[in-house]
Amino acid sequence: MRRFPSGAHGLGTVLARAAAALFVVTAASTAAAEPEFPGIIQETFGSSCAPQCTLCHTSPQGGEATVKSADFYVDGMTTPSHRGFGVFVANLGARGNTALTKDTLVAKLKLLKTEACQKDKTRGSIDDTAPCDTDGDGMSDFDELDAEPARDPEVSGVGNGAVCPAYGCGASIGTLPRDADTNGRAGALMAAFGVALVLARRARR
Amino acid sequence: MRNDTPRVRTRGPAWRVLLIAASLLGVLFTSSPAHAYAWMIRHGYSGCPVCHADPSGGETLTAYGRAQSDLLLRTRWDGKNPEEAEPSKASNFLWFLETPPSLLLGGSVRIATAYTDKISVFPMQLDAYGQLRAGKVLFGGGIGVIKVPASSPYGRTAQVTTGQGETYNMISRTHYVGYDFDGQYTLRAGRLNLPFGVRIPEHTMWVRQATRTDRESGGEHGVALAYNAETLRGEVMAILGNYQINPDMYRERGYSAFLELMAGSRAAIGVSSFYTYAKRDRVTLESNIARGAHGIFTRLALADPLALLAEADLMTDSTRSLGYVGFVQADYEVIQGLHGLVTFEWLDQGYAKSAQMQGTPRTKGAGQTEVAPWFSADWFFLPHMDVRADFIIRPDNFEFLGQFHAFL
Repeated sequence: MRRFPSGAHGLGTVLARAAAALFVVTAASTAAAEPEFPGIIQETFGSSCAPQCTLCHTSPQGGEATVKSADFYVDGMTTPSHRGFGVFVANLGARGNTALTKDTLVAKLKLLKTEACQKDKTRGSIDDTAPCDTDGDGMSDFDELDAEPARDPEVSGVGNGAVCPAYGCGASIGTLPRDADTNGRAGALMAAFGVALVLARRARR
Repeated sequence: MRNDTPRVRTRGPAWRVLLIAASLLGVLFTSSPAHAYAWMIRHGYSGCPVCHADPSGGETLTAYGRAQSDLLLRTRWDGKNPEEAEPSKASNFLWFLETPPSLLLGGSVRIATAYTDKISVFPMQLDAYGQLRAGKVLFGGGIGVIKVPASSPYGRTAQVTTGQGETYNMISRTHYVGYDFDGQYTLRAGRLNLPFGVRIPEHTMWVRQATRTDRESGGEHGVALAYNAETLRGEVMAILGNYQINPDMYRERGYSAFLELMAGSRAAIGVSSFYTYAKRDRVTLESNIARGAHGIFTRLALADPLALLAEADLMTDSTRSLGYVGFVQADYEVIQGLHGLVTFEWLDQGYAKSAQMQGTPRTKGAGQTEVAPWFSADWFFLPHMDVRADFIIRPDNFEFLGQFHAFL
């Protein structure tokens, strides 16, 4: 088995210090976590659980490449309808005049309540000005997401989203007194450890 | 000749205090699974229980496993041949604490840096685990802490506390009672890692994530019987459902098993299979979901520094067409403790029947084959410590992941 050449132990020490320094630096530059789309939707509607990725994606893992899509209103060019594209995320993305991003998601969710679903005559009929009801079950997408428990706006009726999984054994603890600065403080502590490590090694020589 | 006194020392009260402080500070953070190094086959270690409490590998180390991690796993700075050296006292729990033979303790602290479209630094893991032996009876398990966004695919399934949003939760990935019949057969009941495929540390690799057989979130409650002999090992588990998920409709029940044969001292080939049914899938919310995976795997020591791991599985899912997933990984040990890895993985989960009904086109990974390479380096630079960098090139994104890991 190959070993680090004993004659180059000084280099090994340098590398060890460099590795410690690297992770001191990276640990110190912590960034606050952002909720992903399901979390934003959950927070917006105050739901007990977040929608699954498969609401908008063809894959449970999500990802840009698996976003559901549609090009034309599902009920055609001449039939008045507020089902829109028949795909929830396509209807959601068409709210307002901006692309669907984390920054525009909340505004678009709110527009689901008021904005006419079908507003682009190149996609189909715009004669019906009601808000989106993707599955056409009589309950708007906004109201379905706002229900408790939330309903699936793509499935007529209650849908699979009626009961979401809950995690944990039933025990509960109070929220620990941590805030967004926790990672920053932790990073500072790691940095202090790295500095102390180097100083301690120097003191022992 | 110059006296090459090693600069890296693992003794002395200041060092011990600092290390204890670091490990205790690390307890403030959150979690991910510990490693099982299937490429240890390059050293002739085909089986797992000689180094691990889990008969199929991972997490808690035995005293022998700790010694080997010090002798063979990490870069040695003293210039000694591992065959001639003695394990340092730093190989002990918390670097200094020698536990009684009946008590095995361990833990894992992992700090990660990730870059996709932005840089984030976050505590990735904090778990503590152990096993107590009372005669032939075994009591083992682990606890940890996580904090993940709502609907995150990670950590939730092991929750003990019930916070559903982005809040701190206590987790327990494994907890069990067991009986060691004769050193070859081990029976355990509790929450266990699923016996399936190659037990790799990369829990986000498709072969583990798509089959949900990773050690980060894939654990289930059940009863498992493991067999370990010189040339044959295996484990079969009756999956009784994950009772850390509610309501019962989301609990998957079925089986998981593997069987591995040593073909020579440095080559192993195996088969694995699992099948579960749940009234509702916790990820897709589809009803009456029956899914499974069945495949082959191998671990090879091609040369002294080069090991090869590979696995290929067919995936069945009652809501999708037939799928498949696999990986091939070459691990080259440049110098002792420093590994360069190249991995190729592939995935097609199958075309969802709901997507077919909606006329949604097939996409990469869902009706079409998706392929991704990983380029990685892992350096076990000190006792109980390694740093790792992964460059993951997936079709819809590039990710860099850097990790500092200390196992206690």
